[in-house]
Amino acid sequence: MSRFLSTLAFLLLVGLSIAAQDAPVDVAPKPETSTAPYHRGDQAISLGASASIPLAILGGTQSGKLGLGAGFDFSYHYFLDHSWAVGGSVAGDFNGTPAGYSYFAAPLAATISYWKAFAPLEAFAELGLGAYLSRLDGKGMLGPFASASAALMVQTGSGWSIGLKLSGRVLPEIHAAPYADLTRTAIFLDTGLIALYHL
Amino acid sequence: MSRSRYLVPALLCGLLSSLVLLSCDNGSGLLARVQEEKKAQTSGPFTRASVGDLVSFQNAVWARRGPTILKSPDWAEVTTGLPADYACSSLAATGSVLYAAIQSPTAPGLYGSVDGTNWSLEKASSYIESVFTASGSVFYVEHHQGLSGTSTDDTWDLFLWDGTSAAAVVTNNLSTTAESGSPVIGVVIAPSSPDFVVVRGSGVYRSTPAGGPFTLIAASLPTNLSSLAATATELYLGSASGLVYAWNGGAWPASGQTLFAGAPVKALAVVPASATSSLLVAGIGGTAVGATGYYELSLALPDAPGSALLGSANGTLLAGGSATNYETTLRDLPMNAFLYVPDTTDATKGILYAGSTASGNSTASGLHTDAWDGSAWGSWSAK
Repeated sequence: MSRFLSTLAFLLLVGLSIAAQDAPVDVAPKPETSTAPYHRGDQAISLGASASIPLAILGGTQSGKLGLGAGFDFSYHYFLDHSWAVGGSVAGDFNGTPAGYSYFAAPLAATISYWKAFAPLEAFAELGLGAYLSRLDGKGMLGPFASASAALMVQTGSGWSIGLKLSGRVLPEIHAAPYADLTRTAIFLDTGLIALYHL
Repeated sequence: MSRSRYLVPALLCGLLSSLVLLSCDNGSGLLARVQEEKKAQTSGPFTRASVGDLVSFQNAVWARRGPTILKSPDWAEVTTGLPADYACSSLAATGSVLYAAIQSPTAPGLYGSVDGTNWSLEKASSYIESVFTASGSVFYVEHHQGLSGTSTDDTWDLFLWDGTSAAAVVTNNLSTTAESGSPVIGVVIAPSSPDFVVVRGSGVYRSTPAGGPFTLIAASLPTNLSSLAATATELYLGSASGLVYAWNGGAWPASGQTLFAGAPVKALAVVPASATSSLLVAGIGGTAVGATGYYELSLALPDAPGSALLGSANGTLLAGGSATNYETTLRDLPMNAFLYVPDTTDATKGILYAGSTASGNSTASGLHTDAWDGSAWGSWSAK
């Protein structure tokens, strides 16, 4: 866990240092009115902070629920053409449990996204597939992960865009026999701020 | 490209992957546990309390909370007829009378109540420590200390209480053995028999015929017995060393099965697991961190020694064990007592009461309940 947190901290520092750089004066501004401002080989990273809303835990007969939590994510996008990009994301969600413990889920996903720009706005819709690690009171599990996200951002210049992101996340916790009756699926809705930087 | 260029990253990735996989536990349902959790109650009659006895009587439940007696459903203290300085050390009930072993500087003894609220002194004694009932018969235990002139001398004598001023001493065959220096854990009816069985700290005795002299039946003596649960056909015993014994009335098993090595099995009860099957639930009441909590064992628990014990052991659910909620609110509580009470109007339903010592957490409760709806358990609720 400490290695994961160290890596995350490093990535956050990299993002902040990039944000702190002055815009080069000799770089031609990106076209502001184009609906296709992206080109093959373009790259972008994004940082997000969100509220984590647990919608449901499917399976089982009991009714305990996770509480409202907080999450973060870091994503990388590589553009294949003027609309499509592939990449990856790592995220983390913390949610309280009824007895006061903290449930943590860290999904790592490969993503594919579709982008559109309407200057000064830009938006994307994204699908992610991967795996996640969850922890609760010293116990852990691995599982598959799927997400669907959409973001709407305002271009603020110097390659930066700030906006809102909405994500639906599905986290199945699958247990093999003889513990198959412990299998559950958690569904989260994450909504929050996103800061995107075009590299 | 040299091979070594990829060797270190590959080894690091392999090590990291191994650590991640090792941190996973297929037997621990994280989300299932979340569903079972209840918000801790911040205050209540059992907050930071220790519940030692739980008794069902006349469609209500009585709990011994420390030295006090509380009655459901509002868990008010019931003291009418008891001395003001009373301290209860044991509760038991027949179908018509609720009994309490009361210590008091002024009026100690065995108290009875026909309505569960108003008490009367039945047998005055300064030594009555505990009371048991079996098939309508009442037994009490006198604990004498220092009778042989040494302060460390302890003897426990068992009496059959017939409701009159005299009580029959039934420890005649027991007191001639070292068992007189061992506390009485309980008195029950033998499996598939009308005989009485007396369970002491390190011995099991049986009266044949019922009420007659008691004889030692455990050829291989269990050590430090600490709990028991009986059905019509089986007697389950828990030991202070974490063993569970099952005896069907025949030959005594040569050994017990380890449930939790080194921690005492302080409570046992048989509860429903489905519409047609049951579970044995065990409460671990150790003093060490982790040596606590609620466990479930399959009633396929063999009488024959050496067979695998189904259920959970040392915090890990064994393969073949039934669905369990051992990893719940009760996990960190030293357990003292269980009581399963079938619903009075629908016997397929019921409530399991779990008494514990909740002194280590400012919001923990010493009494929890879980409801069986005929097909599934609910979740623990703090009282």
